[in-house]
Amino acid sequence: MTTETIQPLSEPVFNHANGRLLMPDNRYWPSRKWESPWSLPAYRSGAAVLAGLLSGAAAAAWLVGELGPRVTPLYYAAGHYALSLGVPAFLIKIVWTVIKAALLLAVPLVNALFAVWWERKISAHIQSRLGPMYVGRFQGCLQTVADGIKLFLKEDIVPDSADRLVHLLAPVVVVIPAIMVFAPVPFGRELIFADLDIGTVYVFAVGGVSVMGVIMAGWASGNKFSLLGGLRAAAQLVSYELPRTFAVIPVVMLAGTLNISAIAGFQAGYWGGLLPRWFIFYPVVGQVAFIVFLIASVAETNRVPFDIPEAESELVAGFNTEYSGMKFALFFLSEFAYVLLSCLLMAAFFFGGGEPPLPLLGFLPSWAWFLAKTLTLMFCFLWFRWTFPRFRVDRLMDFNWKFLLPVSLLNIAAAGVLIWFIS
Amino acid sequence: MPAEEIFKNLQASFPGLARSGAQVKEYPAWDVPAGSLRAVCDRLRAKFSFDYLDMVTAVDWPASAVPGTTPPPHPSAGRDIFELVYVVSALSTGVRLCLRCEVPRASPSIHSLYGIYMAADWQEREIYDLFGIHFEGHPNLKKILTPETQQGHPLRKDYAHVPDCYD
Amino acid sequence: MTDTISTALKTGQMFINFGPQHPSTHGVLRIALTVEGEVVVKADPDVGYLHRGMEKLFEARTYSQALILTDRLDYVSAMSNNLAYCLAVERLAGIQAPLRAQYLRVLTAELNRIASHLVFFGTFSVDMGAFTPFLYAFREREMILDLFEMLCGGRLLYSYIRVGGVNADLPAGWTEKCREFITFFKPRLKDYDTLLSFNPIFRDRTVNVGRISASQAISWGLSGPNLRASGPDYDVRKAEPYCVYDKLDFKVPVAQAGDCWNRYYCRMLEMGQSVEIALQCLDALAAADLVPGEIMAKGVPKMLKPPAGAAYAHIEASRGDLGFYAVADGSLNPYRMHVRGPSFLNVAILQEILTGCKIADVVAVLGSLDIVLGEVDR
Repeated sequence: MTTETIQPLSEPVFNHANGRLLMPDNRYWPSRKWESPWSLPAYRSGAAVLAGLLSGAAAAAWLVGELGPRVTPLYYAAGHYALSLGVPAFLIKIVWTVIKAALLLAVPLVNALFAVWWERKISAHIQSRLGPMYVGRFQGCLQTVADGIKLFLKEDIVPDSADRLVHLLAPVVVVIPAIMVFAPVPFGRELIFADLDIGTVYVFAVGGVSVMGVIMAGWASGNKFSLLGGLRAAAQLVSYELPRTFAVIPVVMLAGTLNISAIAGFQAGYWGGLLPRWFIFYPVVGQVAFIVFLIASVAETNRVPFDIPEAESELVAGFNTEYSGMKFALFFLSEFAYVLLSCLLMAAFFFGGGEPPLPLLGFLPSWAWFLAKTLTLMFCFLWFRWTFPRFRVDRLMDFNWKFLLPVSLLNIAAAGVLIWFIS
Repeated sequence: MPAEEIFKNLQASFPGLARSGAQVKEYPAWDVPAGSLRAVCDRLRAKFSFDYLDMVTAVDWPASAVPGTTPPPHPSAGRDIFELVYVVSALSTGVRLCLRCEVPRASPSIHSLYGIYMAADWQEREIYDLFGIHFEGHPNLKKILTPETQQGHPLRKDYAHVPDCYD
Repeated sequence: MTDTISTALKTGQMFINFGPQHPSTHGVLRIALTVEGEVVVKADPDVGYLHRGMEKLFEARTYSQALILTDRLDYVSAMSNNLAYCLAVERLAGIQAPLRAQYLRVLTAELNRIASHLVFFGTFSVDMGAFTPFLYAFREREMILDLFEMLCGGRLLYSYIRVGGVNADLPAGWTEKCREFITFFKPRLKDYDTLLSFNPIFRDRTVNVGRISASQAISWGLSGPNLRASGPDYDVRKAEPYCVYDKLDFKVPVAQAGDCWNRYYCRMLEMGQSVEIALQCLDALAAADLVPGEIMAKGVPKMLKPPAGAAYAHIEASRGDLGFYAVADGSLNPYRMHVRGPSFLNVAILQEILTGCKIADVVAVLGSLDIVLGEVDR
């Protein structure tokens, strides 16, 4: 609850001429003052708070410094200490893996905590309203915690005609890859759970397993509309994987490696001391690849304008209608986990993840830059959802097969030309 | 072509056509015998481009509205008929006409205008539902507004409500 | 569920109920669809879920009491219903409202048209999956509802237009607030165009969808923007001007293609024209020759007893051609009051239009017809 007292509305004015009430003057009405939002004190104070938060965060990040290079010495120090205590070596490795797995699990959870709140605030402000304001002292930041507790306490309803085992397993099959997929993705310089040389392939392969879970969810709900919705969702997900992967191939060709952190590191340096060597700045190839990857990622994560599988105002119900409580929360969690994954991948592949955009901004550590780029891209995801209408199902597939896929294939050819040109 | 000329033109072929004693302000109102309504409308649409059916409605004039009272001071009152009112117009010229038909209350039936004006489709179903007037030639004359459990025709003046599951 | 098998492709037909409760916010309407795959084979709209027996209720009330009922017909634009009813009863009784009242009637009717089209804009965009325009539309609508609340005390249902005139004159400060609203609203129409009207995804879903030809539209008795988007240039305000519309200068948007997008865009353009009409009315009301306070015709009795007879009056309401056929028998109550609701005929055409559409297009077509179930079912 907020501590400030609630101000009563001023007394309405009674117009004795015709016996009607005049509108009280303190009611919110956009008027001539609306021409510039800067004239509103609330807007100015909000901007000041935001600027303060950002600079505070930047200062804190600068003070903390690079995290990645500190992890390995920490591991070795702890390992030596444990060895000196007589713990066998393989047990140390197992404990370290378990610690890393627990942190890996924390990634989508913390992301959901923040991203859901952020989405609600962004959607609210785009729609000229306020969003969560009460739960948690500042702008309702603990709203997601409250929602999580609510979902946890909800009754788990399984429809009568549902296949119980498949109904139980479907969210599991969707969520486990959503957690595993973060393993080879860098969060900063040397800040990575598992530095796989085939990181790119791993990410796309594991992400594809979630589609199975969607089909299982549609099937297990036991009604034909959910089944249709699940099949449609699966068709959409599988189709859009192709241009997504093909959009990354020029990046892999240019970098010469599948290792994601190596691709990110390849983009270090500046052309002419000013323009960063990010793949997005490569002529035509980089931009086309980025746009195709962005659109295909929005489709992969079932976000508007590609959210037919979840659409409530369409006739056919989505695949997750028969899910309640924690199982529904898991579907929700996986959607936001994939959004985060797409943003991290875009930051790593196209925006040189971790590298500052200008040489003189190098005082901020790489994980801060990574975070900044990821959050900017996530803002784009959330922004699209509240701006665009929704594609019709057949137009969605048309768009993929007749536009995105040919463009991404041509882009690969163009990348070949570019490489020949560069060398 | 103004309404008067159309009237003279039609009266030649349909002698039953007459200027209505009961006015409908502010439009010309003609009495049409129920049997020739469809032919008149067909001619109006084909020859005089009256292609738009604004409205079809019915008014109930029972022999005595409430037992023991005198019928209201209206020219049609007490005549034990249903009065059907059709408003047709020619969009291109802007002429609007009211056509009045009378059907006996005992066995109310008139030929449907389905096929000439598709707007008559649902309006005639509504009149059938609320008054019980049967429209011959209508392919889908079913209840449209009242629930399936409704008995009787509610807009009739002698409608007595039978308590049903909603009461 | 009916199951007929066609031999060619071994597909079956499925029976789906669209409604009576569905998230497309149009009220309780049920469309029984028979689909084969993705394509609708047969569509049978089923109305009557909101039937309140209004025409029977009219007969049990006096003319002033019946006015309250007319608000509830097309509850999104209640001023137009009041206006049509009052025009019909005034024709019966031979009353003429004073000029100032007529300007007030036109002003409120046009503001209500803007409010109603904003609801259409918001709900149509939600049907298409864009949620933001709904809130923008309702932010603008809030301002109009505040204006109406200042004027007559009601936000949704007004009973402001009475037989013989209007209920109350403009309070002090109302004209300034109305002009403020118009200044705020005019640039918003351009905003909506950028946000939704020319958005390729939106156009993809509405252009060439649900085409109604001009002859179909005329034969099925469509009216309002649904008719004008198919070609016929018929607007009751221009064809049979009532109140002071013959003194006002405005255009009526007409299109040729007759698809969902044209019906949508006709309404957007109509909002712009309503703003022009409202400005002209405000200027006329401020002019010196209209005596402030002369808002009701002289000599209208409290208990109105029109002489026996019949009258038909129709206006261009937000949804189309709204008409009242009133029969008086010289007593306090109307003998018969029939409402010619435009939405009733607009829904009827769904039987023909929806065959051949895809399921996803059903939502688009239904939304573009802009029906309100209060008017359909009465």
